[in-house]
Amino acid sequence: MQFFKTPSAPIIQNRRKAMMLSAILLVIGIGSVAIHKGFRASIDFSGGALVEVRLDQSVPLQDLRDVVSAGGYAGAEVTRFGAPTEYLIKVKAVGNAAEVAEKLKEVLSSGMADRHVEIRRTESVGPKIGSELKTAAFWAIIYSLLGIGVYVTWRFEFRFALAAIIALIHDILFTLGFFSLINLEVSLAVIAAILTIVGYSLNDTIVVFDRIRENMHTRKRDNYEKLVNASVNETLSRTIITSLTTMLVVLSLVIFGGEVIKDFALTLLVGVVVGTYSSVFIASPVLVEWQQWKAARAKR
Amino acid sequence: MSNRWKILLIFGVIAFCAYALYPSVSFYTMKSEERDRLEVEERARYIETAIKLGLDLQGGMHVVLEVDDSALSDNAKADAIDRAIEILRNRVDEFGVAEPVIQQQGDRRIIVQLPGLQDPERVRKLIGQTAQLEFRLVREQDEIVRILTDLDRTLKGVTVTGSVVDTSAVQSAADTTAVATEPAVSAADSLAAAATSAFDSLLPTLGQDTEVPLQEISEDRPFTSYLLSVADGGVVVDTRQRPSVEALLATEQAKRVIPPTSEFLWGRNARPMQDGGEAIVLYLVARRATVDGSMLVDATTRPDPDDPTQLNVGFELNRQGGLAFARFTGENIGRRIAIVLDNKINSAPVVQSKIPGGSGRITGLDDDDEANDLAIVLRAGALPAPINIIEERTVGPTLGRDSIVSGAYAAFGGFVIVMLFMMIYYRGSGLLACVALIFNLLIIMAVLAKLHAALTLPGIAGLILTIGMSVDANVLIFERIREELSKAKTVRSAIESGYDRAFTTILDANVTTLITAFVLWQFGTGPIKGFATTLSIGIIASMFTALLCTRVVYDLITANRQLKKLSI
Repeated sequence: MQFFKTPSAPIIQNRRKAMMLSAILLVIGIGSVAIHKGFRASIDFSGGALVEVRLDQSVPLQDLRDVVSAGGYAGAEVTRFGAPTEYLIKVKAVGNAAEVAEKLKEVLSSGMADRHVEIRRTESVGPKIGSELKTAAFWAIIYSLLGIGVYVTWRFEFRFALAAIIALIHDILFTLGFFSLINLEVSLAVIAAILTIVGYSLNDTIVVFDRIRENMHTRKRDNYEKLVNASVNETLSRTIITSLTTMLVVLSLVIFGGEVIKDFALTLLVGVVVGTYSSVFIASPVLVEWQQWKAARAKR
Repeated sequence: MSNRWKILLIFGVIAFCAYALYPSVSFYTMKSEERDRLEVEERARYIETAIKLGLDLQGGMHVVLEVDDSALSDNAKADAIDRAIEILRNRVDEFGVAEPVIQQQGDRRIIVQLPGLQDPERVRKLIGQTAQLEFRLVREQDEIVRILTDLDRTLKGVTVTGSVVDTSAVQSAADTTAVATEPAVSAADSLAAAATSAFDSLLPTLGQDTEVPLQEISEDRPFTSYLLSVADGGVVVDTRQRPSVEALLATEQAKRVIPPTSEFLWGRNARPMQDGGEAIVLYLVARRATVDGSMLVDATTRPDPDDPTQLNVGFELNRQGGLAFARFTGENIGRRIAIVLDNKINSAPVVQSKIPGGSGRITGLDDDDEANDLAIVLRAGALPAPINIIEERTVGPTLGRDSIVSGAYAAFGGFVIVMLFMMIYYRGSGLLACVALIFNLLIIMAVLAKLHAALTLPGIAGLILTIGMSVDANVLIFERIREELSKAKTVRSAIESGYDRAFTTILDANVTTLITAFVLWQFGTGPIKGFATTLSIGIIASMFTALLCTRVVYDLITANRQLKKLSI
C-alpha cells in the first residue's frame, strides 16, 4: 500500500500563504493570551493546593462548592474530574499550601457527612517553588533550543539551525496560544509535553533538512527553491506516515490514558499536528527565504 | 561488523532482557496471597530487582522540604543539611516505610518519597517536627503578675484588631502612664486572685457564657483584657484571642518589659470550655534550657501509670544530662518545670522531689500514634534547624490502580493501532517492524528494571510515544528502500542503500530528540524525569532495533537467494 507515489506538490511555491496562515493563527493565540492577561497557571506555578475526591454518589457541583466555601475557601475552584463522582478542588496562591490541602480534606469530610468521601490525591505547592518552577520551565525551553541550535549548526549549517529554531518557536507559541484559547491550565506536565514536542517537531524537520543536504550534493544545478521543494516532497510520505502513527498513539493516550494525564496528552496531540505542519510549511520555507534574502543582498 | 557478530549481539540483548525482566514478570504475575507468603529476604530481593512502580502508580507521598537555616552560623549551615538528611532517614526507617527515598536537592532542600503511604498528616508531623526537647524552669506567680502589670502599663494606647496592632496612640498615652499604674496593678491582682493553683481544676469553670470579645477591652488594661485568668505558671487565653495576644507580645513596647531571661511560650494543647470555645495556657518560662534533647539517649512508649489506656513517652538521659537533671530538680522542689518540645510546652509538672537517674516521662499525648511518633523523633534526634514543607504530593492507592489500568489500556491501544497500520501499509516488512517494536519495548522495560528506575504514569506515556516514534526509524528505512526500488535497483542493493542513506537521518533526528529529553530530565521532578528516562531509552533502543536487528533479518533473507520482489 502506498498513499502517494512521487508527490510534487508546490509547497515551497506557496510558502507565503502558509506563513500568512501561521501568522494569523499566532496573532489569534497571542491575542487570546493578552485578553486572558497571561496564562492560566496551574498550582505547579501559582502555588496552592489541590484535592481530588471521589464520592460514593454524584452530587450537584454547587453543593460541593457550598461546602468548600462554607469551610472558608470561597475562592476555590470546584470542577468535575473525569467520572461523574469525581471532583477536583483547587485553591490557588495560598501561603501554607500543605495545611490548606489538609484543611480541605477536613472540610469535605465534615461537610459531606452523609456521603462517603475518598481522597484520591492531594497536591500542594508553596509559592516559592511555584515561581522557581516558572523560571526553570522558561530556561528549560531556552536551553533545549540552544542545544538544538548548536547541534544542527554542527551537523548542517547555521541557517538550518536558524530555520529549525524558528519553526520550533512557532510550535511552542502555537501550542501555548491554543492552550490560552481553550482556556486550559498550563502545568508542569504541559511544559514537559511542549519540550517533547520540540524534540518531535525537530525530528521531522531534520528528516527534511537531511534530504536537502543530500540533494545539495547530488543536484547541484537545481535552483534552491526547486531543490528544497523536491526534498520536502520526497520526504512527504514518510513525514505523513510517522505523524500518523504518532498521532494514533497519542490519540490512544488521550482516550484511554485517564484524566490525570489528559492535559499532557492533549498538548502532545496539538503539538504533533503543528509540529508536522511546521516541518513542512515553516522550516524549509524559512531556509528558502533566507537564501533569497542573502542572494538579493549580494546583488546589491 | 559481520552478520555473525550482529546475531550474537542480538541474542545477547535478548538474554539480557530475559534476565532483567524475569523477577518483574514473576513478581507482578504473583497472586497477592503468594506475595504475602514470601520470606522477607526473598521479597526484598524481588523489590530490588523488579521494575519499580512510581508513586503515582502505587500511591504514596512526595514531599520537598526546605531547611530553614537562617538562625544558624555559617559553619553549622554547611553541616545542617547532611545532618537533617541523616536524622530524617532514621525517623523514616523507624517508622517502617518500605523503600523510602531521601535525597538532597540543591543546597537546602530534601526530597522525601514514601511509597504506599496512607496517612500524610502523620508523616508530615513525623518529618516536619524539629523535635527539640528542653526542660525549662517555669516562672513564679509573683513575677508573672509583675510582668503583666508592666505590660498593661507600657502598652497603654496600643490597640489590636485581630492580629493587627495599632500603636499610633502610644505617644499621647505616655503622659498618663504614672497615673494609670495603680488600677493596672489591681486588675492583674484580681485576675491572679481568681486563679486557683492548678490549671486543670480551673478550666471547667472558665469562660461561661463568654463570647468574643470576652470582656470589654479596657483602656487601663490593654494587655490583660485579652486574658481569661492567671494560672499557675502562666495565663489562660481564649484561643480566639490568641492572635491579638501574640501581636501585642511582639510589639517593641512589650519586648522592653519582658526580662531577657524569660519568655512566653504557648502550651501544646488547648482545652474545651463550656461555651464551645477553647482555652490555652501561655506560660512564662526561663529562656535558657537546663537540660535539652542532645543529652537524650533513649525514648520509648510506656503506659501511663495512672491511666493504662494512655501511652506516655519515657526518656533516658545520658550521664551528664542525668546529673544536670538531678541537680535541677533538687534545687527546684515545689516549683514547676516545663517540658518544652519545639518551643511549645507539653506539660509543666510540679517537682515533687529530686529526680536522680536521668529518666522521665512525657504525658498528655493525644493518642498512641502520637506517642509512638514522638518516641521515634526523640530517638532519632533533633533536626539542626526547622524544616518547612514547600511541596507535597500524595496519591491514594485507588487512583494509582486506576492509573495503571488506564496507562495499560492506552499503551495497548496505541500498540495495536500502530501494528495494524504498519502491517497493512508495509505488509511483510511491516510485520518485521512490529517484531522490532516489541523487542524495543522489551529492551526499555529491561533497562528500566536494571537502572532501578521507577515506571511512572508519564513514563507510560513516554513508552506510548516511543511506540509511535520508534516505528519512525523503520518508516524512514522502508520509504528509502521503496524509493531505491523504484529506481529499478535489485532488492538487495535497494535494501543496502536504503539502510545506508537512512542512517544519518535517523542519527541526527534522534540525537536532537535526545537533547530535549536530557533537558527535560534535568528540569523535571519525579514523574517527568520518568518520562524523560523512558523516552531516552526508547530512542536509543529504537536505533538498535531498527538499524541493526531488522537489517540482519533482511540480510539473512537475501543472503542465499535472489529475491525478485520484496514485501514492502
